[in-house]
Amino acid sequence: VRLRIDIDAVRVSAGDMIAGDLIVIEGGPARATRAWLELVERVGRRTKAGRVESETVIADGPLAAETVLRFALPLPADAQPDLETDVGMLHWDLVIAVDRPRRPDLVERVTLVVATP
Amino acid sequence: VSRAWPAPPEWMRLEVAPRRLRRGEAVTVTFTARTDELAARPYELGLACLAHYASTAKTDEVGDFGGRFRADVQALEHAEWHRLTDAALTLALQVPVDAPYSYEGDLLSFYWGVWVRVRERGLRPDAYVPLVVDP
Repeated sequence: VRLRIDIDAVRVSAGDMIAGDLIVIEGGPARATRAWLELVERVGRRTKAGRVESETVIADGPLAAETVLRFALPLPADAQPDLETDVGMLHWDLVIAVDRPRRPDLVERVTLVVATP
Repeated sequence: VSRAWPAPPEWMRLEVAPRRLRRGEAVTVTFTARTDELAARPYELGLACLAHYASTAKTDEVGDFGGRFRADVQALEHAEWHRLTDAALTLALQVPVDAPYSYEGDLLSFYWGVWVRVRERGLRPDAYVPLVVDP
C-alpha cells in the first residue's frame, strides 16, 4: 500500500475543519483505514500523543489503487496552538493509519500549523 | 493546571488577581509582610513559568531500559523577578505574548505561578500562587 495525502490547508485555527483527500497510489489488503488528529508532545527525539481527537474510519476493507477517499475532521475549538520552547514543542498532526493483516500498520502524518487565536 | 506548593508563611500575605488569564495580559500582585522577617533574607517576588520535561539519562546498569532511563527535569522557562524590600508592594506583571501557555502532559508541562522565594533556594518557593495561562 502506498498513499498520498492532499490536504486543503495546513495553516489552520482551533475549530477549523481539517479536510482533504487520501489517494491510494498502490493498493493492497487492509482491514480498515482510520484518520485522527493528534496533539504531539515533542522533547528532543521523543514524542508522545498528548490528545487524540476526531478519530474516524475513512475506509473499510482492502484499498484499491487510484481510489480517492475524502476526509474531514474537526479540530477542537479548544485545540492548543503550536508552541515551541527551549525544552520542547507542541504541535498537531493529521494521522492516517492503515490496519494491514499480518503486517504493521502503515502510518502517515501531516503536521498542521495551528495559529494562536 | 496546578501543582501542590507551599502556602505563604504566616508573616507574609500574597494576593493575586486574576488567577486565569491569556498570554499578553497582566496579573496584579499585592504583597505585604512583616519587615523584620523580610529583612532577614533576600526575598524576591516573580511571575514564573516552570517547565517540567522528560529527558533521558544513561546508566552503567543494564536493566529493562538497556542502560537508559527517563529523567524528569524542571527548569524556569520564563521568570521576571523583583527584589522585596518594602513591607507592602503592588505590581502588575505581564505574561509575554510569546511565552508558553499552561499545559500538563506526559513528556512536557508548563506551570505558571507567582512566586516568593530566596534566590539560593532555586525552584523551591516560600510562597506560590498558581495561575492558568490560556493561549
